Amino acid sequence: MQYVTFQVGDLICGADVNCVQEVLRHQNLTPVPLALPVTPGLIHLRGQILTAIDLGSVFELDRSGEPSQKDCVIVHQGEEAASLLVDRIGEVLDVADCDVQTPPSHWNGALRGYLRGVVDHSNRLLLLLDAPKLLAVQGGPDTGFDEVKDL
Amino acid sequence: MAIEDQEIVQDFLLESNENLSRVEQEILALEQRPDDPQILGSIFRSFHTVKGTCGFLGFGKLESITHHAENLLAALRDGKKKFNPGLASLILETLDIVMQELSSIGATGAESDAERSALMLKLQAALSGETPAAAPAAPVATAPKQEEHNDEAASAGAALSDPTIRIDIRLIDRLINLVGELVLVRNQMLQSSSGDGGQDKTTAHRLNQITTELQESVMRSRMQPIGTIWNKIPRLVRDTAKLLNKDIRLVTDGANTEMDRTILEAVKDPLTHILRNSCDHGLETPDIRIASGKPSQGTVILKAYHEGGQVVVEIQDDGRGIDPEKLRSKAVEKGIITAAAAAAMSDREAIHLIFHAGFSTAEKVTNISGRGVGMDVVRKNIQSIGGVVDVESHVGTGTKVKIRIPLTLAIIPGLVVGCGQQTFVIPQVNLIELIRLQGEKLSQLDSRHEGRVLRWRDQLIPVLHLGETLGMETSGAGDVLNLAILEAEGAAFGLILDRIRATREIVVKPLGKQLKSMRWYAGATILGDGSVALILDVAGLARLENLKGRAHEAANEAAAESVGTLQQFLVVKTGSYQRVAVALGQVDRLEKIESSRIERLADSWAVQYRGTLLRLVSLSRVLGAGGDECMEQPQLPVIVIRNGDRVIGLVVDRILDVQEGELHAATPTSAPGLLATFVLHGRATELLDIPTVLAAADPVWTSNERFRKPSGLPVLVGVESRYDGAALMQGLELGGFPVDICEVAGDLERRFSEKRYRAVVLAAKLGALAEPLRRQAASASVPVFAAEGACCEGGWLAGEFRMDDTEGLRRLIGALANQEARCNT
Repeated sequence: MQYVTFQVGDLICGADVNCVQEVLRHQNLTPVPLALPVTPGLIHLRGQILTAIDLGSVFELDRSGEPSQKDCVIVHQGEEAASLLVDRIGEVLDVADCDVQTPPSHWNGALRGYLRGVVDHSNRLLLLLDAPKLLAVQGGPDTGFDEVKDL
Repeated sequence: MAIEDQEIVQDFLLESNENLSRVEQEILALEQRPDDPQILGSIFRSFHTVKGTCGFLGFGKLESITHHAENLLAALRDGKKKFNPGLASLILETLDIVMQELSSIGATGAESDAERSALMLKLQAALSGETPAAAPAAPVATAPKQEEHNDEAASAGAALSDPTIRIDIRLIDRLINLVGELVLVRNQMLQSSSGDGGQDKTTAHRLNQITTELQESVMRSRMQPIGTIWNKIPRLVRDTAKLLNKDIRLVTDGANTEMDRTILEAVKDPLTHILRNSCDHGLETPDIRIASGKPSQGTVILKAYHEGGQVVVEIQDDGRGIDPEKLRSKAVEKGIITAAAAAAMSDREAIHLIFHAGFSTAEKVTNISGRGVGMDVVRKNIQSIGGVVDVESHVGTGTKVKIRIPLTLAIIPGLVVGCGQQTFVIPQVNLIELIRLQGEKLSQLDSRHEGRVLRWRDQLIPVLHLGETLGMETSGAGDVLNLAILEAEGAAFGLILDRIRATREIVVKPLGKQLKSMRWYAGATILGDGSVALILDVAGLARLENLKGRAHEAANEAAAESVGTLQQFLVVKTGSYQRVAVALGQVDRLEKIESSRIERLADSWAVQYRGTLLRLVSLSRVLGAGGDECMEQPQLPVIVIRNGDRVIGLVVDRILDVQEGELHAATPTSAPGLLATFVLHGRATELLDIPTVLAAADPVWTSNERFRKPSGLPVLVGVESRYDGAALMQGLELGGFPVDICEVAGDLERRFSEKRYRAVVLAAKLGALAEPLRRQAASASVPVFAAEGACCEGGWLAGEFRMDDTEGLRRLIGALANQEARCNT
C-alpha cells in the first residue's frame, strides 16, 4: 500500500493514498469563530469549501515551534472531504501490509484513537492515520442544543 | 378533451411508461430471486399506480386489466402464491398488453378496440390456483396483434416524446458548482482586465454575459412550479372533510410559482400538516359555523407567490382561530413555561407556543392531527431549508400560517456584513430592517450594561453584538452603530455589526460534518473575490446567546437542577431594594423623563405622554422601601407598564440592566408588592408582583377587575383649571366613562346645554353657579356629583366625594355605574 507522508510536530504520519485527493502548499484559512482549535477554519478549493482539521491540535501536541503557514492534505471519504493541516508534506512511501504493527499498548493519549498502525521506517516510526476517524473530528463546542425529531 | 385533461393524460402516459419499463427489468430479476418481497412490492405498486389513474381518467378496460394483475401480484407479494416462470410470462404478457393500450391512448386518446377478456380470464385463473399453461402460450396469443400495433406504437412514441428528460439532481448540483466557479473566474478576469482596454475588455464583457446567462439557466433547471406538490391536496382536503363531517372549500392560487425542487420536497410535508391542522382544528363543523353566524362551508385558501426574492406560501382558514389564553394555560399546565412567563407573553408570542415541542391544544387526538408532534417539526423543517414560519390568528375569524422560503437552497439573497477582520452573510429571509444609530439616537440603545436592549417600533428588543457573541475581537464602539433587526422564531432582535457591505445572491455551501453542530452557521459561501464567508443561522445565533446566559447561570447556581424557561428581566434599583426584577414582557417601554415635564397631581404625579396623561408612581413608596426621593432626580427613569388600554409609569432610582434568567430557584417573599426572591446572574433579586403593585399604586385599577373601554354618554367634569382634573379624569375613564372636561367658571353651563351627558362631576367650588346648574340638571334629569365642599347647599346632589381620596373616587365611579344600571333597566 502507498502512503502520503507528512510531518506534524515531531511525528511522521502517513495517510492511505486512496483517501488523499491531493496535497497543497499553504492555503488561506477563513477562521470559524467559536470553533474548537481542532477545526480552526475553512479552505476554499475550487468551489468546494472544506473544513481544515489541525492535526497538531487533534493530537494535542506542544504547539510551540510549529510553522505559521501549514500545508494541506486533502482527504476524502465518499462525498465528504476535509483538509488536514500539517507542518510539512513529505514523500509517498510504499509500505508492505506485513510491516504494519499495532501501536504499542502503553500509548494512550489523543493520538492513539486515530492510528491504524505504526511502521518502522528507516529507524523512524511512521504513524499510519485512520482518515475516516479524522474526518469525524467534532469542531463545534458542546452546546447541548435540543434536537427536534424529524417528520 | 380539455387541455388540462390532455396534460394529465400525457403525464399519466409518461409516468406509466417509465414505471412499466422498469417492471420488465424487475420481472426478469424476479426470475433470479423469486421471493424478493421488495421487487414484488415494486411491481405491485407500478400496476397499482396505473390502475388508480386509469380509474380516475375513465379508462375502464385498462383499469380492469391492471386490477386483475394487481390481485395476482398481491397474492404473490403476500406469499399466498408461489412465483413460477409461468406466472412471469403471464405478467409479462399483461405488461405488453398494458403497453399496447397505453400506446393506443397516446395515439387516439382512447383505449383500443381489442378484446382483452382472454387475458383477464387467465389472470383470474392464475389467481384461483390453476397454473397457466407453459410460457409459449402467451406470446402466441398476442403475436398478431403486436404486429398490428407496431406502427401505432411508433406514432404513439412520437406523441409521447416529451421535451423533458430526467437528470440526476447531483449532476445539476455539480453544474451549479462549476458555474459558481466560472463566476469567480469571470470576476477575477473582469478585475484584471479593467485596466487595459481593447480586445480583452470586449472578451471579458462577452464572458460576463454568457456566464450570467448560463448561471440563470442552470439555476432554472432546478425550478418547478409549486403546483406539482399541490396535486394531491384537493383530495386530502376532501377526504379530511368527509372524515370529519365538515364542508370545506379549497381555494388555491399561484400554483405556477416556481421554486427549487429540493425546497419543494422539503415543504411538502409541513404544508400537508398545516392543511390538516386547518381542516381538523381550525374549521368548525357546519352546525357550529352556522351558530356563530358563518357560512356552513368553511374555506381554506392556499396561496403561493414571489415576494422579495423569496417564495411565500400562505394557508388561511376562516375557522375558530387560536385562543392565546388557552395556549398560555396549556403551556403552564404542561410545564413548558412558568405562569409568570405566560402572563408576560404577548398574544402573538402566546400563539407562537404552538411551535413548542410536544404541544397540542386539541382536546382529543384524532387520527388526522393532535398528537402533539407537529408544529414544532413543521417549523424545524422549514428552518432547515432557511425558511421562516409565522402564524397570525384571531379568535373567531380564523388562522393564517405564512411560510417564507428561499427560492432555492443553492442560491439565496443575503446581506454581506463585516465583523472584525471577517465577513459574514445574513440570509435576507431573516432580515427585517437595517438601522444606523448615530448621535442622540444612540440613546435608543441601552448599552451601558451587558444585556443591551433597543427601543424599536414600540417594543423593547434584545440586542446582540455579533463579534461578542462569536467571541471575536472587534473594533471598539464608535459613535455610529450599524444594527440589523432580525427575526427568528417569531421574535425580533437586533444584531450590532461592524460593517454592512451589500446584498448579494450567494451560493450556499454546506459546512463539513465536523462543524455541523455549530447551528449558528447555516453554511458558507464563496464571495466574488474568492474569499470564504460564513452564513449565519439567525435562529441558531439567538439560541446561542440564550445558551451563553444559561451557561453563565449554571456556573453561578451549581445547585440548581431543574431547567425552567429562560426569561428576560429588567433589573432596577428602587429605594432600599438594590435589585428588583420585572419580566421584560410586562414592560411596555422604558423612558427617561425630564423632571420639568412632571406634573404634580392631588395624590401622585403625571406626565403628558404620547397624547395621554401617564400617571407616575414612586415604586419605592409602593413597595414600602422608601419615599418619593426618586421623584426628585433631574431625569426620572420610568418603567411604563401597560395593561389593556391603561398605562402607568413606575419611577425607580436607576435602571440597572436587562438580564436573562430562570425563575426555578425562586423562594416566595411576604414583602408587599414582591412575588419572590430568586437568583439572577448570580445575585439575589426580588421579583416584582406587577398586579399587586398596580393595585397598590392606583386603587382605581382594581376597582374594576377588567377595565372597560370608555363608552356611552360622557361625564362632564367641571374643574377649577384645565390642569388639575387629571387624576379624576383618568379615574373616570378607567371606570369606563368617557369624560369631557371644562372649567366651572368658564364654560360649564354652555357645555352642559350643548350635549347630552350621563352625569356632571364637579371638582371645583360652585358658588353662585350652583343654582342655575341645579335647575339645568333637574330639567335634563342628569345627576350631579360634587367634591365635598364644592357646593354649600348640597341636598340636591346625587352624591359627594372627596378629591384627595382614591377610595372616594372609587365610590363615585360605583355610583355612576349604578346610575347607568338604573337607566338601563
